[in-house]
Amino acid sequence: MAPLNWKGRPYRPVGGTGFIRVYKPDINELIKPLSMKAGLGSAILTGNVVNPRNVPAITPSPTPSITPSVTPTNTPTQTNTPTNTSTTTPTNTPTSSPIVDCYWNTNNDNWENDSTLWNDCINVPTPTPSPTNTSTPTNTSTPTNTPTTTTTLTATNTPTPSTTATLTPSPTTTVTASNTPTPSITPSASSAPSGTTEARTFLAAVLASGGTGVTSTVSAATETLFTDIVANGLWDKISIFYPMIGGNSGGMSIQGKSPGTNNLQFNGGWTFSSSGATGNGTNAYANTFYNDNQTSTNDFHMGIYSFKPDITNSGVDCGVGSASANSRTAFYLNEVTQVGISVHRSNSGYATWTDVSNNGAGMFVGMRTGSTSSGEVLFWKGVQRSVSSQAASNARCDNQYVFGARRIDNNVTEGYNNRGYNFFCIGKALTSGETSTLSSIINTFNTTLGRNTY
Amino acid sequence: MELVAALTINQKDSLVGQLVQPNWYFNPRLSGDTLPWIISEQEINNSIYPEHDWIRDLTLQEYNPVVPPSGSTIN
Repeated sequence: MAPLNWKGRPYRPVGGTGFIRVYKPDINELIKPLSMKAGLGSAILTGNVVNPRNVPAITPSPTPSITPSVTPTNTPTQTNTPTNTSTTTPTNTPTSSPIVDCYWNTNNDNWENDSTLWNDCINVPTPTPSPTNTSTPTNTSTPTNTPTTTTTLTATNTPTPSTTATLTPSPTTTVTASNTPTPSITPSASSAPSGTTEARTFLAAVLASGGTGVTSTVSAATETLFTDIVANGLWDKISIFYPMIGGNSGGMSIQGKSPGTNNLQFNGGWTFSSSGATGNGTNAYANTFYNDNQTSTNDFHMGIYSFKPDITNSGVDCGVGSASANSRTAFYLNEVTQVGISVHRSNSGYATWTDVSNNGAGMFVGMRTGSTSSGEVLFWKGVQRSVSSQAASNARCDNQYVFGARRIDNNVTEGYNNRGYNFFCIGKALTSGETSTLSSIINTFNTTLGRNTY
Repeated sequence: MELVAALTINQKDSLVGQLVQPNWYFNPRLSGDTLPWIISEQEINNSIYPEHDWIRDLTLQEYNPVVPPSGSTIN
C-alpha cells in the first residue's frame, strides 16, 4: 500500500477508516514499568478509537466569521435571520479522524501526543469541519444573529432618515429664499425702475393691442427712450407719456408710464402710420382721460412732438379749458409762425412767441413753475423761447386732456387741427436743463425711428 | 380739403360710442352749427366691424367748414 499523506505527513490507514502514525519506539519509554507509562495501554488496545478527550472544540472559529457577513446583507429585512444558520458548523467532531494516540489540546488548540510513546503530534493538521457539517441543530448563532441584525438594521436605517433630514433643510432654505426676494423685488421694481423692464412692458402692451411694425430697431429705440428718461431723472417727473408706435390706433394708444392706464382713445378722422397719427382738422382728437384736476397748478408741464410742418394750421393742438373754472391750458403750435401757450391761466389769451423758423414741427414743451414770477414758459426743440408772468389760475379744469383739439366744458371738443403727432406727455415742471434733455431724448427716439423733424 | 359723409340723426346715434378699430371711435359732429351730422372719410375707410358696413354706402362729399375758430382766438 502506498503511503498516504495528510497535509504532507505520512499516515497509514487502519481498518480502512483511519490512520495510524508510524511507530517510532523510544527506548527510554520502553524500559519504564507499565505503571509509569501514561496512556500506553489505551493506545495499544483501542487502536483506532478516538479518545473522547480528542474532540476538538472548534466552535469558536465559525461564529465570528459569519456574523459580520450576514449583518450587512440582511439589512433590508429583519425576518430572514433563520436562513443564516447554514454555515455555522460547529460540532463536527472529527469522527473520521485517523489520529491515534494524539489528542486535541483545547488549551492551545493543537494536537498533542497522548503519551510519551508518540513523539510527534505537533504537526498533525487540524481537521477541517467541512466533511460532516450537521451542525444545524446546535447552531446557536441564529438567535444571536437575530437581535444583532435587527439592532444593526435599525442603526443602519437611521442614517436613511438622516438623508431625509438633509433634504428637509433644503426646502426650508428655499422657503426662506423665496420669502426674501418677494419683498426685495417689489420695492426695487417700483422704487428704482431701470427703464428696460418698463420699456418691455410697454412694447408687449403695444403688440397685445394690435400694434405692428415693432421691429428690433423700434424695440431698441424704445428701450433707449425709457432708459434715458429714467437715467436722467425724468421718470418721476412724467405722469403720462405716449411714444406712439405700432402703426395703428391699437398700438399708438398705449401709455408708456403705466400701460393700460390712461391709454389713448382716438376719435374721428385719424390717419395712422409709422410716423405717428395725423388728424383731419375736422373731427379728430385723442383723449388721454387724464384730468386737469390730477395736475399741480404751479408744477406742471405738457409736451407734444409734431412731425408735420404746417404753417397754415390754425387749430389747437392740445389742452383743456373751462370758462366756469376760469382756467385753461392749451397749445397752438403754429399759426403763421406764432406759437401760443396757456398754462393754468386764469385769463383768456396765450403767451406767444413768433419766429419765422417756426414751422409747427418738433418738440414743444410748455410749463408753469410758479404762480406768477416764472409764469408760463415755452420751449421749442429744447430751447426756451418765451417766459410769461401771467398769473396762474386759482383752479384747474375738471376736463380731460386731449390732443388734436381742445376739450372744454360739457365734453365739447373744439379747435380741431390737421397736424401729425408722435409723442405727447404731461407731468411736473422741468428745469431748463431737464426740458432740453427730455426734448433731446425724444428727438433721438424719433430720429432712430426715422420720423424726426430736426 | 376733407371728405365727409352726411348722416341722419338715427345713423349718427347708431355710431356714437362705436369702434372704428381698437381704441378708435366714431366721432360724428355737426357740420358747422347746423345739420347735418357728418363723419370723416378716415372713419369710413378704416371701419373694420361688419355691423358698420353700411357706412361704406354713404356718399362722400367735400367739407367746407364754417371757418372754425383759430387757436389764437380760442379762449
